[in-house]
Amino acid sequence: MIVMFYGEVKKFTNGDNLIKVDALYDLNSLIDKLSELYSKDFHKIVTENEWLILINGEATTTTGAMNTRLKEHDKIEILPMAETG
Amino acid sequence: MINEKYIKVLYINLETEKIHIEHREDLMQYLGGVGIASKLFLENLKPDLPPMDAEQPIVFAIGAATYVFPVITKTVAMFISPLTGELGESYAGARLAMTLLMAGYDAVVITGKAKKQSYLSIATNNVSVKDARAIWGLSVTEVGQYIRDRERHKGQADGKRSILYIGPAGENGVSFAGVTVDTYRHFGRLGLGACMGAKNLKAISVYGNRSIPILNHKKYLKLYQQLYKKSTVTEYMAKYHDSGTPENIMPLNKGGGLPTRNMRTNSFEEAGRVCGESFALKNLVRKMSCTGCPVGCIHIGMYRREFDKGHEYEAISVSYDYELIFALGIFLGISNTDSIIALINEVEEYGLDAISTGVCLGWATDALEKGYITDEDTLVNLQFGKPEAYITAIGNLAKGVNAFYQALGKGSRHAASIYGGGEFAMQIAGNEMAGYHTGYGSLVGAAVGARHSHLDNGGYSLDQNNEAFDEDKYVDALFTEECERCMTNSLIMCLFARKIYDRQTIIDSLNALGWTLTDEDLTAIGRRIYKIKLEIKKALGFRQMGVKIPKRFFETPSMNGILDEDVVKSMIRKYSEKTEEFLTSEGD
Ligand code: SF4
Repeated sequence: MIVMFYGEVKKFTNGDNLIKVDALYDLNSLIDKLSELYSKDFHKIVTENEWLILINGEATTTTGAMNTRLKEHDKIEILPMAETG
Repeated sequence: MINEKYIKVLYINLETEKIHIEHREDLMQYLGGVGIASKLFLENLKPDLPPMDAEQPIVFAIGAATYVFPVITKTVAMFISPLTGELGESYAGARLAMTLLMAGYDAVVITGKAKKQSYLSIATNNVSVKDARAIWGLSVTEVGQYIRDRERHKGQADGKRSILYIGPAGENGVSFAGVTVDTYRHFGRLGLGACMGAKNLKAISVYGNRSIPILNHKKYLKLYQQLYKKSTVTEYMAKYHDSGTPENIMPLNKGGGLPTRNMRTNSFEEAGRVCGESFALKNLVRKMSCTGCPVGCIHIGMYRREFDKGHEYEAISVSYDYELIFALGIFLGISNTDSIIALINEVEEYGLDAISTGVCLGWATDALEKGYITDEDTLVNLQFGKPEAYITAIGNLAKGVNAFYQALGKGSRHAASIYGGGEFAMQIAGNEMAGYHTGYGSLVGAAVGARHSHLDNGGYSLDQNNEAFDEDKYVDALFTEECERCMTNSLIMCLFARKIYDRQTIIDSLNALGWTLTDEDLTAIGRRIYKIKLEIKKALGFRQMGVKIPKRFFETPSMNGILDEDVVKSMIRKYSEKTEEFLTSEGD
């Protein structure tokens, strides 16, 4: 499974653009995995920074959010959320 | 008014040139900003008269913590929108809020129509209506120069004066004409420029030279330093300073929420060429700030324009952000940063709202291609991706050169009601869409929001969070956020700073200025203000259930897939029931 990081998000991944991880059960377990890899509480970071997570190009709001079942060849993209003021 | 127990309101009748000041203790319950503006607007509104009638008011107001804390920089304007026919509400930064504060006015209520073309000069203890016949018809840049030269006050430093002005579009009554503030900021949306034009009011100059004592200096200083630090050295605001809002292009494009070519599609194959990074590398020349903000998110882009043969060039510089790149670039299929800056410049000079202009031209391009209108209407061959024709069309629109452009100047909903093509006129309740086709949150949020803007309730944020869609939860969240923003807009902070000013910080900041408010008080203030806005909308005949959403919103996939029209209708109905109940409820 490929996880890609864009823009501001890379500040939390020590500059990594992309990592490959073994298939994980759902998005929650992916966030656990990222927390372990980067020694940070990614659950908190994801919420605080309101990141957008795409699974194979689809937003997670329609794919069942954090309990979304992941598959081996999924491409996960984590981006800063579009924001304005 | 900071340090006082009243709100100081300046009333100006342009027709009689009568000016008076009131000290309103009763307005303190609305805190400031949009709270006092809403109340004053409701008091002076004439619901039975047309939107552009001379009797209709324009209200400007600053907030309860204006300028004294970082990033609290905005002024609100309230008026009847000639575009939607109901509540017009718009915010601008630059120096205006600071100068109104220094001039000693919390709010200004303008009524009547000046007998001749005029501009207003507002200073501490000195307000006058001055002749503007010589500058009527001038472009925004020219009028800015004129007023700057003439409005000089004894001992004045330029930083203590702010100037608002309209261009030819406002004079000609284009329903989405904006108002420029100090060159690079705007009351852009919903047609304040046309309201000023209808009052024969070309410009307003505000000058203030008071100084404001801070009573609890120790407490204030400590808090100020914390907030300053949060604004500058933490991550909260870094992205706004760095690439600015054009940073949005990438996530919206990747996620499929970027309305492209009149929203025929939800992503732009050339997004990489117009993203924040591309503008920064090719065109960015400097960054600026509103007065009182240490962030500096205003990105100034420049390009070299050849204005004559023989190597005759001039440098064109404009401020750019996501919405402008969306409306005058992506929505029109344009992928060249210089061309987008040229289009922004054109819109600036005529004094138009960039979003409505781009979205109206997107509709016109589609309508031309589909045969609803002809070249005889558009006078130029509008085609997606071809900037030259759009440059000419912007001038035609601002000047209203023929029946077609006059109709288009009343908005895409109006033009489509005459020529057809309403199913792809990308407006919601008459206001042209902003650059977010993210899902139910953004669409329903714009339909029910007080000014039909993405900024009313941040529906686009809901669509991007990582929780599964739930109709009822979304409706509740939109309502709660709308009330919350009524409260924050009474301070009036820049919305970019909402993560810096959490509830406790707002309470502490106001406390340092002499207010004693609790968390419950802030909730009550937000609800009180929203109630007034709903009353205004009701008085002007608006019904949430009456909003008709064009078909294309349900045909082009959003970031969250194809939206179901029945779900949207059901959400609007639920929201409408909620607000009806809220309006008839006791108290706040
Ligand atoms: S963040 Fe930008 S728009 Fe907001 S106050 Fe600062 S400079 Fe102005």
